[in-house]
Amino acid sequence: MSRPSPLELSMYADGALTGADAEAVAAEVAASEMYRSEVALLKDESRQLGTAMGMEIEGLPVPAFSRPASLRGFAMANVVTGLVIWLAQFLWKTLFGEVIVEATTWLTSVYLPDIYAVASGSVLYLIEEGTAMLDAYLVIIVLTVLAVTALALLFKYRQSRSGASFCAIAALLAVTALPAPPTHALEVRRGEGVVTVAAAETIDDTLVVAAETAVIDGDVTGDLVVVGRSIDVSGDVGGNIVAFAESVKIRGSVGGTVMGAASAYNLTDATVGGDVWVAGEKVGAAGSTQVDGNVTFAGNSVTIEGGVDKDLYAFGESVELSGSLGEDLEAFANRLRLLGDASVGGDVRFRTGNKDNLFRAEGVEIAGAVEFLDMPEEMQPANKYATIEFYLWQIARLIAAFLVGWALLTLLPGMRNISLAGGVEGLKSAGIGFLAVLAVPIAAVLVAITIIGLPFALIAFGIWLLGLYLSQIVIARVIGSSLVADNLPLSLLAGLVIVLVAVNLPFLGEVIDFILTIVGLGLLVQYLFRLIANRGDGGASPSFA
Amino acid sequence: MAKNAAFEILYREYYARVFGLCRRLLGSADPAEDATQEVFMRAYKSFGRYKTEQPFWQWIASIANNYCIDVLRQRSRSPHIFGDEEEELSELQAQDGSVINELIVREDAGALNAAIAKLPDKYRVPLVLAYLNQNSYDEIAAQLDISRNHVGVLLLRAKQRLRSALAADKEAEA
Repeated sequence: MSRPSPLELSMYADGALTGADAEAVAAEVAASEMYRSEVALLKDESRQLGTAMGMEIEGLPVPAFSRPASLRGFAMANVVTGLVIWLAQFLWKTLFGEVIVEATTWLTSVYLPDIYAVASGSVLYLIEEGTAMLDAYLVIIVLTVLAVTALALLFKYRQSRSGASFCAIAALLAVTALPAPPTHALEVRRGEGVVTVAAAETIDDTLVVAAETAVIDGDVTGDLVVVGRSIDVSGDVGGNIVAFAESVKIRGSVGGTVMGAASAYNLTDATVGGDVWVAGEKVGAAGSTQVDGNVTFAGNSVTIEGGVDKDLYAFGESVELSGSLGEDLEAFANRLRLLGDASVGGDVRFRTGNKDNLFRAEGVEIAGAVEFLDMPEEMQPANKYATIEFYLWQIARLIAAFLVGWALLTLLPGMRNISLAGGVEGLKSAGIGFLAVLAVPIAAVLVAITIIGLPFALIAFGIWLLGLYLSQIVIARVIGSSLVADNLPLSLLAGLVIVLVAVNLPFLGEVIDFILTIVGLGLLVQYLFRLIANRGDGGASPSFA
Repeated sequence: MAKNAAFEILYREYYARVFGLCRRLLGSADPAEDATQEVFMRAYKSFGRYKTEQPFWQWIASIANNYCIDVLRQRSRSPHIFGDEEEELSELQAQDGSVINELIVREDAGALNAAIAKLPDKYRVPLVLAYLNQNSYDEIAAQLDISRNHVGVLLLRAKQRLRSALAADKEAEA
């Protein structure tokens, strides 16, 4: 063999030559001192390189290892989220869309003082609209969840063309198989100054405006929800108008219902296809305003100049009618003035204690009768302690609270251990309770303003009301257990009797009621927090002893 | 749970070695940190397929090798980062082995590693695989998708470059 090349020697030194090549080089190396020395140096060099490169860094910090989120877990989380969303949607539609709405509709169909009709009507509207919007937005959320899952799968299998194709097709199918995009679209406009919808503009969605001054000159095909200081609507609104402001003027055409409240709420030369439910300091329907449905006005000064096809319910210090009514007029007012051009297609019912408070101008046409009714009993001051109903009601409250408390303490035996350890503990509980009393409704209102958050706000309100109710049972149990330690029903009963008597005391009752409520709520909140914390730790029921 | 606990232990034990390997392969510490995390992430995902008969270092080092080589390929935007065997062969220089070794032996490890880090990827990677990882020429050839002989040429060129760099440093010091 000829002289081995540097490459052959290097490979030989690294043990990388095989077969005949290795044998040939080995023979040359064996025969030559120079080659032996060179091979030895090369081997040493390799060792030195390995040693140098293998030197580890002393004190190298080892960062915490963050485990990757598994695709299976991610997919499961998405599926569960989707199911929860659909379940919530189902419950919402079933519970509120069917049961509560139907029940409320039925309740309002029987006689109720009209101020309640306004309130229940508003709630009905919000529930129905809230359901529709929640429905629409949930579809978007589910779509998004599915799209994210599809993308994650696509990313996971991006190296596999068939996998990518499969995922793309699956995502496409999932999206196309879902319901159509929401028809109840929503446009939101906010601003600190003036928000204007120009006359030439048409909003094809429901429009929500929050601004100091809102000027709606253009048309809105859906509903219009406006909150601000000054609102002027001269455009046409296909749906309903809900407006809350210091001053509201509606001058255009409204396809649905008009509702809201303002210091001054005026419909001027407007046409309303549905009902009107408005409250404020000064409310009125001026000029040639025409309402196809019923009108319910509540205010210090109520003025009706235009035409109302159905009934007019008016609450106020002064009610003045110079327009025409298709059906009845029912007024709860100090003064009712029927001016010259007024006409009433049905009866006039004036709830007043003094017939002289009705002024009827000459030429006023009333097709039916004029009735003077006393004010409803609930609007007259009465001594509640002098009525048997009061005591029957308190007994009913006691029985209900006892049954609820008994069930609560049976289901959550840990609550039996709730106690008020001392002064500081009592103050702490009262502080927590006070915070809960204040914070929950504020948070719920803030969430409700977003409209989409309306159902969550209603749920929060429900929980809050439940908490207020249970708070007195909790504090009653604490008080009762300090009197009768070893007998649960007796201690609960004793505590409830004491609480009921205390909160009904003249003058002091309301203060005591408030203090007991916040302390009880604070204890309840603390108990629930500890319960959740202990569940997280796999522990038993929390103890307050 | 047991899998997680076992992996945590292995992670703490091998983090520094994997980091060292990634640093040598990639040439600097910053990308090596990211690479180390990614290597352990990949190892965690496929930990269920790990056979305990194989030394853990061998297994995770192969993951680190593959990942770092992929990074280098992406960095150079070419799958052929190790050049052409014939071209490399023509550039081989004859050098005195004794001088070479003397230079290497006298250098401290830090300076030597600095010189290695300055090597082009195509020389540094086989050098690390061969002398730090103790991979055979066949294993290196398979990983780099080149011929066995090409591996030998690259290693020889790498060592020659190192010698030149170290000799230059020595002259500068003198």
